[in-house]
Amino acid sequence: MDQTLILWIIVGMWAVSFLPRMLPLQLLSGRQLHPLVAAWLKLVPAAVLPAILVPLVLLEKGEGGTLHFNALFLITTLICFPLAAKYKSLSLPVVLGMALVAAGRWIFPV
Amino acid sequence: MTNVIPSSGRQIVNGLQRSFPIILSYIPVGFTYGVLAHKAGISDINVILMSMLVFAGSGQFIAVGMMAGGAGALAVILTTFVVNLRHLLMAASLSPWMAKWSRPLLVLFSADITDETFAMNSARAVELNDCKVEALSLNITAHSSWVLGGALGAVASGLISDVRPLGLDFALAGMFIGLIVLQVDSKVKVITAICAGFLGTVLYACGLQEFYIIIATVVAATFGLGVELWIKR
Repeated sequence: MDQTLILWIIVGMWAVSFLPRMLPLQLLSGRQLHPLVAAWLKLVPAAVLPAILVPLVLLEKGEGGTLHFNALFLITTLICFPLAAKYKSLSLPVVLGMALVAAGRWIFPV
Repeated sequence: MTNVIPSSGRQIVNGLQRSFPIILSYIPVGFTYGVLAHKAGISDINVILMSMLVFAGSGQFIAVGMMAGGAGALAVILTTFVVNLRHLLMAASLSPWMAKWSRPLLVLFSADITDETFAMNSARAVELNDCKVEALSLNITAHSSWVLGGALGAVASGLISDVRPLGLDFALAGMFIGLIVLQVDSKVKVITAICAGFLGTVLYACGLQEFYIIIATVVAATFGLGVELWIKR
């Protein structure tokens, strides 16, 4: 691939990632938000994280972009989730999850 | 209630300690990104540069996937914008707690807002005005470990023929499980989370693979707010 083009894509990605992070803090810092807006913003992390995670563990993109049910990821998630909740751990599900997926593929090679 | 502000040295150490769980997940997830990006034909310098400038886990994964699939520059940048737009909402929700920050320090802080640093910083939002150094220490340490993980992955990429036998493709999902467990701590948030997960999956399966995150987020957070108001009524 053309590395100069990739560099420009990265610069573009930087601009569109940095501005949405920077502008709210510059414009809103210290201001009291409307209580309804504040309550809505408090729910955003609880919404955005599952919106990314659930399709990621349920569906797998196969050849030609068709979607398949991903049983191994789902089972791994169902094991990791309660353990992560019990130990309030950010890293446990990463390490245990990768180990379970690796073991699952080793035991049941497709 | 304590009014004593810890010394800068103490705050740096506190920030390092609090970033530790983030480092433990950023290294393997960043490593996976590095391996995949290198395999997609991106040069090592560009792999590292993207981690330094963009610093967004899922955004970088999606961009690498699109570039590998031959997508155009504009499509990659637009998708990155949409996928990372949630940071706008995170920055806005931290802003009421950062009145005493100078503008240059706010710029430095905002460059490192991710799901993970947001989770850590919002958990102690009341202390943000007094513990600026601690927050910056946490952010910069986390960002450094993300860059390091990516660099290691790019270098090791030649040794790894396929990421699947190592389970590396689960790293990002694992990190999100940990984040959800930290963030979803009330009944309304559980309802919001279930609604978002369901909607996200349906929209993704329907082919809205660039906009499912932002649509599901806005709809589910609004629904959750409605539930909250209905309970309090």
